[in-house]
This record gives sequence, structure tokens and C-alpha cells, in this order.
Amino acid sequence: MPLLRPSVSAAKQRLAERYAELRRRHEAGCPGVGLCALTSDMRDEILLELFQAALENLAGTAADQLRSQVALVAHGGYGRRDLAPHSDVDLMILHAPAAHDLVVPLAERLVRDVFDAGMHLGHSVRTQEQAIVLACKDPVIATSLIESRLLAGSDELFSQFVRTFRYRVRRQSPRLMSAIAQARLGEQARYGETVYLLEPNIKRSRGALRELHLLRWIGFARYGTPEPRQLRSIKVLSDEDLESLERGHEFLLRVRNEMHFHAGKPADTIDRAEQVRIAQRFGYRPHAGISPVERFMQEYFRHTNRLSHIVNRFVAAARSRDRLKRLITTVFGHRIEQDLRAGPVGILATPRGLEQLRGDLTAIIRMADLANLYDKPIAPETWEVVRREASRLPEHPPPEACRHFLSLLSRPARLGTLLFDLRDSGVLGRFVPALAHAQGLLQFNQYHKYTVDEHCLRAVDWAARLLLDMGPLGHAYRRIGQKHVLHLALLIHDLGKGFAEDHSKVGWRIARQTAVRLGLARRDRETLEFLVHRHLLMNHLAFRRDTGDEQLLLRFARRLGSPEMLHMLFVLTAADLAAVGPGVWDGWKALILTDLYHRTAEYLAGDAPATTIDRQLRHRRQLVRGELGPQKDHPWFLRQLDALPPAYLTTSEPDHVATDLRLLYDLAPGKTTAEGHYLPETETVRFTIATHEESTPGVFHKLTGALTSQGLEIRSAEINTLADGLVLDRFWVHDPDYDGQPPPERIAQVNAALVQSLDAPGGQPPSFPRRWRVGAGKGDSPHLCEAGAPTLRGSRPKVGRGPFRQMGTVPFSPTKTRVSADNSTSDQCTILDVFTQDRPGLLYAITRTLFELGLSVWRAKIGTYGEQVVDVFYVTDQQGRKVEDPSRLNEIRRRLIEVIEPAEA
Amino acid sequence: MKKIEAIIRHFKIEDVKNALAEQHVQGMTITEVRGFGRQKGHTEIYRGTEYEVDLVPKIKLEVVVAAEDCQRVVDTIIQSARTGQVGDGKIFVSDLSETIRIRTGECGKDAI
Repeated sequence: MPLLRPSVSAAKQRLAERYAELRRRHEAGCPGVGLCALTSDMRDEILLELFQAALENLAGTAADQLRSQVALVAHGGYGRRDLAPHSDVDLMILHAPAAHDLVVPLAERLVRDVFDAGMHLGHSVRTQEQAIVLACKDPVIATSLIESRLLAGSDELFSQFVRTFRYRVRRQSPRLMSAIAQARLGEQARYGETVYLLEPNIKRSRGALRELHLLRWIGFARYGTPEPRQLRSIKVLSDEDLESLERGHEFLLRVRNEMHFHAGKPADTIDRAEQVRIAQRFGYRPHAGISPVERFMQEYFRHTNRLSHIVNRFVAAARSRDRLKRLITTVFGHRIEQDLRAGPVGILATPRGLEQLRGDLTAIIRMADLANLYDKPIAPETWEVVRREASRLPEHPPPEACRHFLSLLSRPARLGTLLFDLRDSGVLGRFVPALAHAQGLLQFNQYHKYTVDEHCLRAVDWAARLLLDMGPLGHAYRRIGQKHVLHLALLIHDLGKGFAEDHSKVGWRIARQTAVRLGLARRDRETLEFLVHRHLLMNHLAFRRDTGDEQLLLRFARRLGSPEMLHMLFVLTAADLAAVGPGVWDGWKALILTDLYHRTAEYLAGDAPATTIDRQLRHRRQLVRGELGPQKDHPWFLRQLDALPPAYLTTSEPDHVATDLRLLYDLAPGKTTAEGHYLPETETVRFTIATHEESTPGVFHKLTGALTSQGLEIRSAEINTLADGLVLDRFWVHDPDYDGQPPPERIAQVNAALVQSLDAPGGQPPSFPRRWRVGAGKGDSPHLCEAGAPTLRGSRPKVGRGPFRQMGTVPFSPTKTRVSADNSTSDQCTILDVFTQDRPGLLYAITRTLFELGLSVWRAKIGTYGEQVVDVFYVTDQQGRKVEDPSRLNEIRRRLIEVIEPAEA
Repeated sequence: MKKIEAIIRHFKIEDVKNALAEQHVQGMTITEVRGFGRQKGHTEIYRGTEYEVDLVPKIKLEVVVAAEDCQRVVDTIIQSARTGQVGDGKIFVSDLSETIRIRTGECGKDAI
């Protein structure tokens, strides 16, 4: 039986009852702001009772003495009356210095009782002086105390505190505002520097509740009051802004209440599962092909976008440093055109200029074009004017406006920022109407971090920054003559998403419509259509096909038709990947894509393809001979050189080829050797295994099993058959257990496992180590460690790098497994593309099945995109020929799907 | 209820403590300990005799959580304590039969 005081037990009971009541009201539709106020009232009631009980408990006259010398002050969110059902309560016990000895036992008892009653408390016991000194030193304390409210105790003590606090803290307002703004920027960086995140944090991400708090604190520091209504009365906040603020506040609080009630504890991140649930609970209906959850999130983004802009402007206007800049710009700014001035704050429109901007699309886009030309930002107030009048803008942009838009797109200087501003002010949609559909459009897979429109804009921004890049991408970018076509292609490339049809095809139509609308020249229009329709072409070739295949390169080069198109597609592919989310564009992808770029460039530049290939190979062989030293004329080596597969020869460094040849030369008959070599540019290890053909059938799946049982992630694999029945297999793997180069013992361990898998007799399936899966077990299975059944289960270790990997890992809509066979790309092999959900032991299961189906694997490329994988295998039948019989292909498809699907049960 | 014991690098305790506080973990116990794993405490090139074993200073952290929070809390410890080098430590998870708050006698989840 718990030893709690009766008053505390009663308080605990009351808390539970009130909580249930609040929950009922919320479910009955109580508005957010109202419910938070009720929550605060409930806490007030209970705290007052506990305070009374604590006072009465004091010996003798202590209670009477204290009544005029102590004040119970609610502050922070509690002071604001903004409490979510599971928020903490912040309490300061303010006391006169003389009462210190009496206050201590009171505080001890009160705090203990509050905790025992089950409330989460943050408390302090301070005199007025102590509180103010701390506030002047620490902005976090200062901002919390700005929201002070008297709960119980001496009115006079409290009023004096508030007066002195206001006077002393506001005296330091420039420094305070600076510190607060800095802290907010840091928080935004950690929780999402853009509004358009797929899983935002409702308290801390950009545009979220914190923005409102920021407005209040800055309002207090600069104008003496944190209340938006009062800020409106003194005319530093417009009527329209106030209304948007209140509506946004109401919306966010209601969502937050819902999340807290559902989780039964503080929960501020709106992950995928929550979004769907809330959309359903709040009664959103599908409309015009948009699902309920998408409509909910679009509303969320509308509110947070508005909030973010309003608060930005408010803060900028309040900080005197910016006021000075504005003054300088207005008076002394250098005049651009008739009605724009450029100065320290950027470009400001004069009053007459502002008049002109209202509803005049040409004037607006001309200003943006000029801002790009002069490489200056446009002041937020000017954008606000544009935004307010955006509904008056004409549906169709006049030709002069289109000209300015294209001119804007042709210069990288500030293109990214300006496009974001144009989107947010509603102007961009006039030039590209398809953006309206994509605004705030979610993408339901693990892989993407941003909404579709945000992804496209980021891609343009990333590409524009290549101007200063020193690598091959920067090089290619600078050589592009028609940059406006590239930028436009990036802007619209994914706008075809969200429709039933394939997004590339829809994108193609959008590209044509946009080109016509903007009045693009015919050649530019054709280029744009190609780039958008085929924006995944280079991506697929690089990551799903064998880039050593000459025929493939030739066909690709022919399709592109010109070096300019290659430069553009190269940059576009890279930008598309980079804008998906942090960590997606890495050294491995960069290397493969750049390699494809260079080799294709050779074909575009050179003469007749056949001679090119032959000449290349001859040249390569000479280079390898050069590396062989004394053995370069040895007959065995010459025979091997001639028999080397062209793809292997052209994609490997001559010194590595020489090393591999020597490895093979030293290989005793019936034996296997393995070597591992770390490649720093891609952070992968390349394992080379040499063996004899007859020594063991099914080499590929055994090696795959060995590697995955060592916990390695396979990126790509190559099986090369050379002269005299020798086999040289290469695997490029990533070792998640080590950042950087794995130690020699680790490589030796893997080598031993590889050799063992081929040398050991019997078809023992490999055992996969159990791995703790970070982020697993949400939703369905509560199991902690993945059970390590010996055959198919194991894990791709996922203790990932960086914050992105830790995002909510509820598999949203599990990928349907799909297997497709491609007999047209390669002359020698049938290409099998397997699309499915990633799971432990998958790769081993697939490769084992291919072996059992009597297929030989020549190349493999493994691509992981969040929870989805695309595994590509180049296969032939036992006679080394393509599999062309349709019924056989169907059987292969069926078997593979059968093997993959039940593993999920 | 589950008891989570983690042996971590001594300089990682601040990071782990802060990360756990953000996850609303309500309490923990820290002990300074010494120990070794399969590399016998030899993290760098070791020139002594191979059967000698070194004791390396570490911190042991113990927290008790509700079973449904176990995954989240272990994830947090892993992410904040990891450096990728040998010596990062281990985590042990065990089932706990009872928890009691001495002062009030509360049991179970209320006592966590």
C-alpha cells in the first residue's frame, strides 16, 4: 500500500479524472487553444490545493508570515496557458529575501507532493534579484520568465517582480534578441531547416509552434508585450498577420493535443503513421485524386509556411540592426531601374515601385531577374506585398514576363533562393501551374525527405551551386550553354508524381505544356521534353546496368546525340539524387555516375565506334603489360590478357589488373584465394576471389552468402571467366561496422570466410548473425532482436550514419515485389530486375534461387533506396546464352517471387 | 519492465545522458567500472605478452524502462555512445520482475 498523503492521493485521483474529461472533450471536437487553456486550469486547480495543504502544514505562524512573502509563479508554456496534455509544468517559487528559511521547507514539501501526484515539474526557488540576474545571463531563462503568471501568494511581490524584470531585461534587448534568434536558428537546423519535411516536429521544426513563441519573446524584448493582440494594437503586427497567426496556432495545438492523447506521453514528431491516423480522425476526405493524408499535410504546410514567413518578417523588422540597414537602403541605396533600390538589406521597392508590383506579374519577375543579375536578396516586406496581391495576378503570363523568367533561370547566382521566394509568394505557379498540384505533396516512401515541390526546388538550388565546384560536375555544369533549359528541367522533373500514370510520362506532357506557355524555342523545347521524360535514364544505366558494356554506352551516346545533352543529363541526375535527402548522394554514386559520364563522353567525341572500342582495348592491354614488369612477355600472361572480358579491362586500373593476373598465376589447381582492398573514394572494400571453374558449381550465391553472413552490404558484383577455366570474381561491399578503413584482421576474416564457402564441401546454407535493428519494432512486431533462424534470416545492419537514417521507419506501403526481364539491353545476357522490400537474407535467397534455376550470374548491382531494394542480375542459361523462351522467363519470375514473398510471413 | 545496462566509454556519458533526457527517461544510475572484452583491453599495437589482460576504465549506466520503450531507449544509447572504434562497449537487456519506490511504496511503472 503506497504511503502517500491523503491530499496527494486525492490530487492524483483528480488528475486522472480531469485527464479523462479533457480527452473526452478533445474527442468531441474541442478546439486546440481552448483545450490547452482547460489543461492549464486543471493543473492550476491541483497545484493550488497542494500549495494550500503545504502552507497549512507549516508550524505555527509561519503560514501567515509567508502569505505576503511568497508567490507561486507559473512560467514558460504553463505561464502561456499553452499546455499539451503531457507537457511539463514550470513553476517558480518567488520569495522575499527575508523569508528564505521559511520558504525552504514549504518548497520541499510542495515539490515532493507535486511529483508524487504524478505531474512533471520543472521548478526553482528564487528571490526577485536572483531571478533577474539569471535571466540577464541566460536567454533560455529570460524567455521562460517572459511568460510569467501568478498562481497563488502575494500579488504585490509578483507585480514588483514583473515591473523590475521588464525594466532590467528590456534594457538589454538588442543582445537578448540576438541570442534568442541565434538559438532559434540552431534549433531549426537540428529539427528541419525547411517547412516541407515529410516528418516534421510540431514544436521545433521550421514554421512550427516555436515560431509563435519566438514572436512573443521578440515582441516583449522590443515592444514590451508578448501578446499578439496587443502587438496589433500598437500596429507592429497587421490584422491579416494576426488572423493567420491565430488560425495557425489553433490548428497546431489541436494536432498536438491529438498526438499527446494518442501516445499517452509527450509526442511531437508527426511521423508517417501518425499523419494517416490524424487525417482519418479529423475527418479529411479524398478530393480530386488527393488522399486524406495528403490534404491534411497540405493544410499543415500552408499554416507552417505562413507562420514561418510572418515571424521572419516580424523579427527582421524588430531588430534595430536591420532597421538601420533598411534606413540606409531607403535613403542612400543605389537606384536600380525606376523604383527599386539596392542597399545593405537587399533590394527594396520604393513606394511607387510597390504600387507597380501589385498584381503586375511582369514587374515582379523583372525585379527577381534583376536581383539575380545584381546578386542581391529581395527584402521580405517587398515579397509580402507581392504575396498579398498574388490572387490578382493574371492566369497566363504575358510574353515579356516569360522572357524575364527565362532570363532569371539562365543565371545561377541567386536562383535557388529566388525560386523559393517565388514559390512561397504564389508567383511561381503562374509560370508553372503544375506546381500547384505538387505543393506540399508527400512522397510515401522511406527514401525521400522532402515534398515533391521542395525536392524539385532543392535540386535547382544544388545544381546552381555547382558553378563554383571544382570537380567533374562543376566542369560539366560550366560547359552547359543553355543553363535555363537545365534549370527548368530540374524545376519540373518530378511534377508528374501523384498521378496514376507513370510520372515520367506525365512529366513529359507537363514539359511540353510549360515550354509552350513560356514560349521556348523549338530546340530548347525538345531538349526540355527529353530531359524530363528521360530524367531517370542515366540514373538507371549507371546504377542498374553494366557500365562496362560497350554496346550500352554506344546506344546511350547515340540517344543523347550531343555532348551538351550529356552534360545536362549528368548534372540533372546528380542534382536529383542530392535533393532527395542528406546522405543519399555519396562517394560511391558519384564515382559510378562520373565514370559513366566520362566513358560516354569519349564516344560522343570520338569517331567510328568499332574502332574506338578496339583501339581502347588494345591501349588498355598495353598499359597492363607495362605494369607486369618482367612477366610482360610470358606466354601465360599474354594468353590471359587476350581473354580478359572487355568490360573488366576497361573498368579497372591497369595496376589492379596486373595484380589480379599475378594472383591467378599463383593459384594452385583446385584452390581458391581471396583478397580485399579498401577504396577510400567510395568507402567500399573490393574483394577479389580467384578460383577454377570446375572446382565448385554455384560460385556466386556461395560468395554472396559468405559476405552477407559477415554482415557486409554488397553494392555490386562481377563474375569474369578467363582463359584456362579460371574465374575471377569481384565484389564491392560496404562494411557498416567501420567508419573508414576496416582493420587488416577484419579483411583477413572475410577473406577466410570467402575461401571457406567455396572450398568447404556440402551445401550448408550460411548462418546470418543477429543484428539489433535500430528503429525496428514500430507498429507490428514488438520483437527486439531479429530472430536468427539459420537459413534465410540475418540482417543488413542498420546503425546508420546521421539523423536522416533515424527517421520514422514505419514501412509505409510495403513495396509489391516485381521481377522484370530485359533481353534488349545486353547482347550476351538476360537482365533480371528485382524490385522488392528489403529484408534480412534477401540477397542470398535470390542468388540461391537463380542457381537452382540453372542460371549463371555474370554481373550484379544492388541498390538500396530506404526500405526498397532494386537488385539487378545479368544472367545466362547453362549454355551461356540469353533466356528468351517466354514460358521459361515466366517460370523464373514465378519462382523468384515465390521465394521472396513468403519470407515476410 | 526491462532493465538496460550499458557499458560505455567514459567520455561518452554526457552525450548519452543528454540523449536519454530528451527521450524522457526519468532516471539512471552511473557507476565507474573497469573491464575488458575479447581484445583483452589491447586496443592499439601491443608489445607485451599475449596472455596479459588489461583493465580499461569505462562507465556503466543502468536504466529501468517500460517494455514498450525498450527499443527506443536502446536505439538512443547506441546512437549516442557509438564511435565505430573497438571499445564502444555493450548493452545488456534483462526482464525485471519488480520496481519499488522506497519513500512511498509505489510499485511497477509508477515507481520507474
